[in-house]
Amino acid sequence: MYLAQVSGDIDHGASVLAPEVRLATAELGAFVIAVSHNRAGGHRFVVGGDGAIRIYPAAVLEDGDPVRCAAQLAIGAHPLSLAADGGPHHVILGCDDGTLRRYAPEGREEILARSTGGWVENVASSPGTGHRAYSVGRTVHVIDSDGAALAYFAGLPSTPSGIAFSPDGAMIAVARYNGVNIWDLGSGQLAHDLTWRGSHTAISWSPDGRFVVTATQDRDLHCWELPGERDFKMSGYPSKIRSIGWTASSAYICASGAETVTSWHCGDGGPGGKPALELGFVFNGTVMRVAPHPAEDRVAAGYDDGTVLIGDIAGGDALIAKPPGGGPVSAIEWAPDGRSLAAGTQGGTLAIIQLVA
Amino acid sequence: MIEEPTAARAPVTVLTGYLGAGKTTLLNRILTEDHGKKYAVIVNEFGEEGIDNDLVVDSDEEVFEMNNGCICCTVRGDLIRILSTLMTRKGGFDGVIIETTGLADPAPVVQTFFVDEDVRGRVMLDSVVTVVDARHFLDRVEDSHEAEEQVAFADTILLNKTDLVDAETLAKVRARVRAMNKFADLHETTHARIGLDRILDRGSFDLERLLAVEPALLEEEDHEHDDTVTSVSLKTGRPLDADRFSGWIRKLIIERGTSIFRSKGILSLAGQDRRYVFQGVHMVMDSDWGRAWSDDEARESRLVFIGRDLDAAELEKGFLSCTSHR
Repeated sequence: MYLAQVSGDIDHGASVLAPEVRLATAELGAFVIAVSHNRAGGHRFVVGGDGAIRIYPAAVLEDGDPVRCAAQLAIGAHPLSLAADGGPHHVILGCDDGTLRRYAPEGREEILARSTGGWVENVASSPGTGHRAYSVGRTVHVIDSDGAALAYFAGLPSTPSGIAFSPDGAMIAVARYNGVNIWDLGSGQLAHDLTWRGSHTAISWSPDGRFVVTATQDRDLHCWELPGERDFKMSGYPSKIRSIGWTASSAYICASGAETVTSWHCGDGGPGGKPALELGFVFNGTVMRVAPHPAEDRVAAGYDDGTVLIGDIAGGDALIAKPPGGGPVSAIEWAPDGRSLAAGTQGGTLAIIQLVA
Repeated sequence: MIEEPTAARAPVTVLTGYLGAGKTTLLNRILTEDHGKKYAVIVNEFGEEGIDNDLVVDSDEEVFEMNNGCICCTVRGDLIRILSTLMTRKGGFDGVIIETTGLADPAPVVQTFFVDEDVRGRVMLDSVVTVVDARHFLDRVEDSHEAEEQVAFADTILLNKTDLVDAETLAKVRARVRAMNKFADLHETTHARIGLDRILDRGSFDLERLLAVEPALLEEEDHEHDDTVTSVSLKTGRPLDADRFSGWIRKLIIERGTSIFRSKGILSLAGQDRRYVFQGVHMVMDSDWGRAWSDDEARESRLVFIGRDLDAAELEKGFLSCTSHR
């Protein structure tokens, strides 16, 4: 186990042990496509390129093995998109056979919806209302907590690339070519039509409801302040921005796509005119995935060499939580209690990082 | 795309051709032949039946402009999503075949392989195969930019349905196709019948192929045809000055990028022991240091362009002005 308390640049060769982090890894033998925790936080679910879903208890056990798989199932289709369900215990999964599925901690599977001839590439849920949204081709469907159809929105100008519920669950934002559609689920009407030219590849709605941010194929972030009066472009990324996320405080939007974790301060007047805060420089490295902490202004990030880092956004201090190896990080997520973190790589390494301090 | 091929990256074959040329016949031939390989096939509409062992993915062509609406820099958003997903599968594929619609401009497909990091990291553009209908090509090419572009982008051309035309027409079509793109491998076929080793796993984006094409003398070809789409190849044995070349090529693609479909080059830069290689599609360009020059080869710089209304004499003048004075 190699861990280092670093301030400024990170030198992997000089990594040393840090006592407050415990690392365990397992080799899954397949590309880690996604990791998600259920909202109660008791379990983490991992889907892989071998078409399997694996379930792990998330509790921090003094002498337990955090990578001992509690249940493993063959999905029978290729998994594409994974998210916590609206309720406390389950996760929802979109697959390439047109199914939206749901998994319980003990591994029980239900098919919530089935469409023909399309991939379910985006899934999202709202903890407040229990509603779920998913896309098949260019159509977005919304179903309630019982699985009954609530609404569908067809005829988007492109296949959506991301869906986010508003914090109160009353609206959904859908990233598509040349901008974002925000629909009011009560009226079924388009509430906001946010326009910015180009292909948008990810979306995130701030926890305070004030901002919607997308990542673009042009390697920018685009931020709209609702109700759509002002928007901001954040640019300068050397690489593709694969992952964005808000801190719980709504103070920062964090993004991958640079040699450092970049976090834009969106408090006060919004992100305009402020440089990004940077954290965890890795020489010749690229941040592939980011995961803001569920409570504090901290962020975890995975790099293209397999390194996982945990850092304090404003302070600029970071820990290496997992050394390089296993290929580029392809998935990363905190448990809801913020005491442990799961990261997976393209090469099939699953790393569980526990904060024991 | 310019890096050496690695085993980890599956080769991608792009299949184009105007409506009715025989593209679907060729695709079905690839899928039903007993080649023992596993392909992922991206099509626009499902054919009749699924094929054992292969994965067929249905897709809408989603052409996205980049750089705030630059028509010269477009990508296929659907391919980025689909290829990124395919490569997460355990076991992967021996290759990927992308069928475009008959009316598609191949540029966005090819540019996707230049532009998107996830795509270029996991798969490798192997070649663009264009099926040409011998019967209708001479008419098509008059009224359709797409038919021209499909030939211009081709690494391999199947001149198909040769049994449906007389020898004189076939000779005219052949000459017309050659005038537009003299670098592609050209095969004459009926019912798109061809050995799969002639179209798959060709490594056409391997720039070594450039060395096999001997540039013709400009005088000979300059006024031979009145085609608007032509190809030009240039060569010099004198080392190039890196700054001068870079300035010239940048200016050229900014000014003429809309009409230059493809450009490729292997360059000998003054004072360098390694080859400098580049490829471009319209204004999107990618370059890198290649392998070292070996002792037994001539250190020549070669450059090819395929495009509309190319001025061969002007290109040659510009190219030769980049030679080093040292």
